Amino acid sequence: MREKAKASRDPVRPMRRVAVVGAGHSKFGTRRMGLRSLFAEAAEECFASVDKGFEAARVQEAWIGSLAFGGGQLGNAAALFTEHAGLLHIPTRRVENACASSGFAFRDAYLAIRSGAVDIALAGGIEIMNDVPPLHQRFWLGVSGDTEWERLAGATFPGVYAMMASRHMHEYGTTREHLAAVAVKNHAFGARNPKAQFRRTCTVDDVLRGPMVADPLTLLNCCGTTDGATCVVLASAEAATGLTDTPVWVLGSGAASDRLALHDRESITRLDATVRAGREAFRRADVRPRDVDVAEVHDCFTIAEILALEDLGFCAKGDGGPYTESGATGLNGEVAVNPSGGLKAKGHPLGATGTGQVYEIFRQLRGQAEGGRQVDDAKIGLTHNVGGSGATCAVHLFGV
Amino acid sequence: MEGIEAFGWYLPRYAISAEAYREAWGRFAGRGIQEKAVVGYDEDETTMAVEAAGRAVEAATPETVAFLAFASSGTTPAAATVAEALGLRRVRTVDLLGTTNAGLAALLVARDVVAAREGVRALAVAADAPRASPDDPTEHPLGAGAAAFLLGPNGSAVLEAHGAAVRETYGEDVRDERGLRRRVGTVDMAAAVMGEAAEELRSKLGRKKVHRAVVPDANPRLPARVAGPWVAEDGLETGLARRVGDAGAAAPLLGLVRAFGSARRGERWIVVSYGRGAATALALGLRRRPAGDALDLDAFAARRVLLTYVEYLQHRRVLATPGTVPAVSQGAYVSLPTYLATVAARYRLVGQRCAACGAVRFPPGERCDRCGGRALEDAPLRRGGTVHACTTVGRGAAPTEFAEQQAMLGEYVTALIDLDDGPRVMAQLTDCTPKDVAIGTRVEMVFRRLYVQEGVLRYGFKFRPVESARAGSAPA
Repeated sequence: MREKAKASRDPVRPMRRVAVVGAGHSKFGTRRMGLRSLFAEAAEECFASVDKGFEAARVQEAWIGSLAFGGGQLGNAAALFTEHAGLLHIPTRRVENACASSGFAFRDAYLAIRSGAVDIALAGGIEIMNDVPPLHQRFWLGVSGDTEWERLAGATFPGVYAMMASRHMHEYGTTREHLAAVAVKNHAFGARNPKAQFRRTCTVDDVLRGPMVADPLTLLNCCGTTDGATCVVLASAEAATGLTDTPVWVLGSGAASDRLALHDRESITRLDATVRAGREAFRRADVRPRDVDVAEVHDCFTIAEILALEDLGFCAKGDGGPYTESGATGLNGEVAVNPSGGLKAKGHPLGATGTGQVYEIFRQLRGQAEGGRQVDDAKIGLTHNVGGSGATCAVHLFGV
Repeated sequence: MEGIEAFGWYLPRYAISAEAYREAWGRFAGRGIQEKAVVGYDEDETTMAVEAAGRAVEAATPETVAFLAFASSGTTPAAATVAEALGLRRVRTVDLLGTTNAGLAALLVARDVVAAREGVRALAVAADAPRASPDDPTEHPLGAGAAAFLLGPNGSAVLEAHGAAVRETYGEDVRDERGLRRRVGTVDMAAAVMGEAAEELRSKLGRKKVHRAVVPDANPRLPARVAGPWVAEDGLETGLARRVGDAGAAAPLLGLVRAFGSARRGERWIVVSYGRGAATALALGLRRRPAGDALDLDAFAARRVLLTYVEYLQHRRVLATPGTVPAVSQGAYVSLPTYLATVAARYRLVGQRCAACGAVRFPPGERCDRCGGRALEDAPLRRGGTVHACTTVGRGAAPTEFAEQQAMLGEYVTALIDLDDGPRVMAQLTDCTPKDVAIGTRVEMVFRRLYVQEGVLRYGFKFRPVESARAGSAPA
């Protein structure tokens, strides 16, 4: 009796397994609603998805990712979201690593449970981008690069990735058709995803002939601006048994950062943050890239998916284009990549993307993907979430 | 003997023809002018002055330059900016503004400084891009250009004597509240005052022979009217305005620069200028050709890029709508103190060298990337580089700071550049079209207008293809 009491007061418990037991995902698009109700939409679906029933009050702590795009609610935003999701009074904070915000929110929640500090946690993300005029959007789209030296050179998000693409084409012979293949695949998936922002398919020709945003990236090579919210519930192994019989285990988490400015990096044809985060996640999970059945990677631009395939080790450096073109990343290829439609077709509400990827993997590994996007016999999944042009990255591996 | 030791000049690569004006307006009110130079969108008097002065001062070590005079018929002071861009710190500056007579006035002031103090050098820079309302015929002949002279104790061209005259004329250089010129008087007023100044100079010269005369020739008859009595016809320097237009305060100095290309030792020249009722006449004795690259107008004309009339209005910002960029910034804001803390890097590509391991970095930072050391010394970097990666930024992908530029000029190129000294820098490319740039293209740094934020114009660096520089105006 006394020993058990001593153990329960001891803050340092041995590392324990963590599972995702519920996940929610708002419709992505232009939503014309406020931050509170958008987050509540995702939270409601998330709590309802817990198999054995769940009340919001059981969440002990929350991490919510958001860039606070538009500046509408910069300070204390997390408390606002949790309040309206039925989570009044719980400890919470906004996590910010640009587009990797909720990937890191997820990692933080995972580490908190793993360390024993918390048993049940919520990790989510939210972004509203389409409620400000285009000129303001452009200001905010350029905040995640090096403001002092990249922005004033005339480069924002698309410009920076376009430079990476131009160098990748120069070094490895990647073609515009390779880039287009990524868009075609992801839009085919998005068309069958009821949550996706863009529901139309496209051809390689459509991609090549679209308006040029930043050469070589035409419009269909670039993700759009999106409103959306996502959240997931994580639980310790012990707490999970009372919540579901099919928990999705977090096998490993890896994260890393890199130099913010492109001009400070050794190479602009790989993201060192991805390489390091991926390696750590695979090592901790004791999993190899070829073991992964389904992956949600960070395709803010088509070139980003090609870089991800290489930097995560699914194919050799430089082969991302041909690998995609071969169909290896299709629904029943070697590894199904972005069956949700990815950032490209599903949408990219900056702070919500990370846990949105977890939502998809959660559903895939439990056989619940809709619209004919279910990957056969999906046992091991991966999420890959990048901030800006690669200054931050979080990678997670999941298994059932 | 103190005098002009070296010179530099700059003409923008763009020009517009009299023909383009005739198509637009049905006439061209610039008699004798075939084409005129046009400042590019990201250029102005200050950037032209920096380029011209930079070339003039190449011959001298910056520490010996003690004085800088900036001259323009424009009204924006630029001497401090030009000095900063040249890396001159302990320098006395003066801005001579608001009159086309300012160029020669600057030359005289610089000469006086050198004469008064032993061993010092002085820079006189004239840069001009006069403006008038597009619907006013006064606007038609207005061109652009810059010239700079480095004066020192070992003059190649020595200022022997000068003359001056003043008369109230309510002259042609009247400005409205927007700073745009409006012609009021006639060329007779200018010719009369210039004639008086030249006459006074001539009386000081006595019977000494004058071989050449440099008189602004935007009005092609003016040189003969002013200097015809004393200089043989083939000694009247003409043809500058025909190619360049009326370069305002820079015109007499550009005329001199052009003449230096064929200077013969022992010659004596007079230079006469005029503005706002004041005329100055100068006599120069040529001991030898001053150091500097010749201004070959034919070569320039062969390489310049002709604009249509609409492109002309776009470059000159006439078509820009105020308020395209919001007056108040949001997010991604570089405050003035932050910007100014790095002005040496932005104006002169000054990087840092690690005192411990010698690694060079740019832009400036807090610690060495290679060894982590915190002792970093300033290291001015060479301005050449090679394109490592590039993209053409189309509509919607530009930061809002460049929204107006993009509205006026369309797509532009941004590149990651491998500097010759090692570090990599991201920069916009200028003076080129996307097809001029690819991975491997050689580029060089230039000083240009970047953007206006909350009413404050910021200058900084861009890069241009080296081929553009050769094709444009600056000497190869």
